[in-house]
Amino acid sequence: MHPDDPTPVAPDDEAVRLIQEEMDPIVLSPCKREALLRRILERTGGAPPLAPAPPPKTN
Amino acid sequence: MIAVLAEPSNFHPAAMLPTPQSACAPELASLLEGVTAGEQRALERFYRLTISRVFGMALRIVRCRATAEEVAEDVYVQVWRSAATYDAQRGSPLGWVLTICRSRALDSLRRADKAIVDPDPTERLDAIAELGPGLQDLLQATQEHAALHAALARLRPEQRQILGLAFFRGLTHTEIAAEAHVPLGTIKSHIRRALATLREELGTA
Repeated sequence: MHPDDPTPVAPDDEAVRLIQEEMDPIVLSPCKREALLRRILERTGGAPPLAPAPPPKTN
Repeated sequence: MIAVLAEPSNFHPAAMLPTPQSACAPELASLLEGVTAGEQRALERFYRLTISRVFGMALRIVRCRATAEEVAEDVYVQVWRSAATYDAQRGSPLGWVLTICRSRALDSLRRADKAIVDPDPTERLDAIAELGPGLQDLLQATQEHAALHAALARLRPEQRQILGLAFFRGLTHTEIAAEAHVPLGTIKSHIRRALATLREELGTA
């Protein structure tokens, strides 16, 4: 299979397709999620997203 | 006969969230158009709306968080490269990206399998039962979707086991029959009945 070919492995299996879109999500921790996004954007040529500004220091 | 898992899977998702209602098909489709135009912000937004679903699918198949992250990374790079190939006539944007994800995850699983010495053929049936997700996995993975969860719960254990092998391991009906030493016709019969039950319960007949 070509790496860019999104064809399912078992395209004739309708039961698989029925289940696929209803599967529950699993959440990545925020730091992992942002790190993964940065890697993706780096690989796709974009600048990494700006990190959230730190809260102002208070004395 | 198909070996049926007697024990629940030892896989426990660390955290679950409801499906983001904001991830509606029109918005995702619009974002894919932006990705096609080379807009990084569109990719970022698409990622934020779908990553939990993509990561959930990948982790359930590869069963290793680090590998699932690698799979997810590859999925979004592929989305970036091939968003133009998305065809709304063939399904939803979420279905499209999940299809990419499942395919990538199964590829990863197969690469890992090849690195393991092929076991004694006589032990393969037990190996399927130990490695092959089925009874509990499909139920665990669909707890938030009551209709599908109920439909899967109504299936006979061997039907759910076969669906699990097809879904999580990417085995074809022929491969399941060969691995389990069950006639192909029997496997197809189980799948056909399972699909009829799912359609009936989900109202998709």
